Amino acid sequence: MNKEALFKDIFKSNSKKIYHLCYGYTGDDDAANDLMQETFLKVWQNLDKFRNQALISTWIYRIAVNTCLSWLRVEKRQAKDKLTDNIIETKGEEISEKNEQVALLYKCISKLEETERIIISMVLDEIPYAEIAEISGVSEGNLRVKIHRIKSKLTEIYNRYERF
Amino acid sequence: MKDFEALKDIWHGQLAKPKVSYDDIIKGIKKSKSSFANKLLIETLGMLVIIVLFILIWLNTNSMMWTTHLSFLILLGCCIYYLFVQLSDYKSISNSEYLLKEPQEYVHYLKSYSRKRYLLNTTKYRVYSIFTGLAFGLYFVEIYFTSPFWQTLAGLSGIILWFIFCWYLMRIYIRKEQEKLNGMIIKLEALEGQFVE
Repeated sequence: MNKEALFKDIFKSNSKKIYHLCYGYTGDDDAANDLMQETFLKVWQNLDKFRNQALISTWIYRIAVNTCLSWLRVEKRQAKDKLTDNIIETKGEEISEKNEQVALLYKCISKLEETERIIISMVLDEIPYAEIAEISGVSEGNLRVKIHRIKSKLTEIYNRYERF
Repeated sequence: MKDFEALKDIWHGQLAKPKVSYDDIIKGIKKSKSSFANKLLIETLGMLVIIVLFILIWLNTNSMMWTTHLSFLILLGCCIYYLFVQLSDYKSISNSEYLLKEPQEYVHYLKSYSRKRYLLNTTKYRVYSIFTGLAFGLYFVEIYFTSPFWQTLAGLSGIILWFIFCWYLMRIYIRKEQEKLNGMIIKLEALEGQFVE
């Protein structure tokens, strides 16, 4: 398989999940698209390094996580929080209930710490725990504890917001 | 009240899809490759032209004083140093080894890279400006002995004004860089702390 064909294949099978991870991290659609694009640019540049790896998705996630972590524009993130609030408060009636729930879920994820956002996005996308541990560099035992805590935290935040 | 499984259902029901397609990525790859190469090429060629120009002037001018030789030597040193810094910086940016490392290590790398950039943009740039100014100053020693006084005076006044202007700009720039670095380090340390088990 040539490089472009392999890359196309990788893009098709991973782009949606990587986008979800970036969206979960930034809470902003444009920033998520930018980060996803940046991630795949880096995947292309490093394609030869992991051509024969069994779990190529682990490496792609690792690149995506590191790309997200280098997204340090604090001002933009604050603007995003206001924007998400705005969507929920003023456009709530215009969008369907389903979309409203998704927007609320993203808003709740944005209230978590950065590493928690990354981990929970992968949990929600049903990435196996062993792979999440490999991507995040956290031992599997500790990861299970962390995930349990994040799940409770997210559920609590969601239910608190939903009541209002 | 919703449990986590209900949140998972919401997540899987989301319609949000990436706006970036495979073709956009390929276009982006080609564009970033050429813009990176062009920028590097223009800057390197520009500096190489200046270096060649300095060497030609140096070799083709007769009866130079030792101060003028020293001035050319310092100027060439500054140009070569600038070229070296530019190339090593591009090399460091394109080095993707760290990108594949564990997030904690990557955050640590980002921290040291930010500090390195700060040092480069402040202290090293200040030293670079001082040496360039010194080189011009030394060059005017010969001008003083060989040209009318007004030319020396005008040249030296120009250099002093240039120094004052650079000093003023650097003061603002360093303050901004310091604020930026502090904010970034705080953020990176917080991120690093989140990985502690």
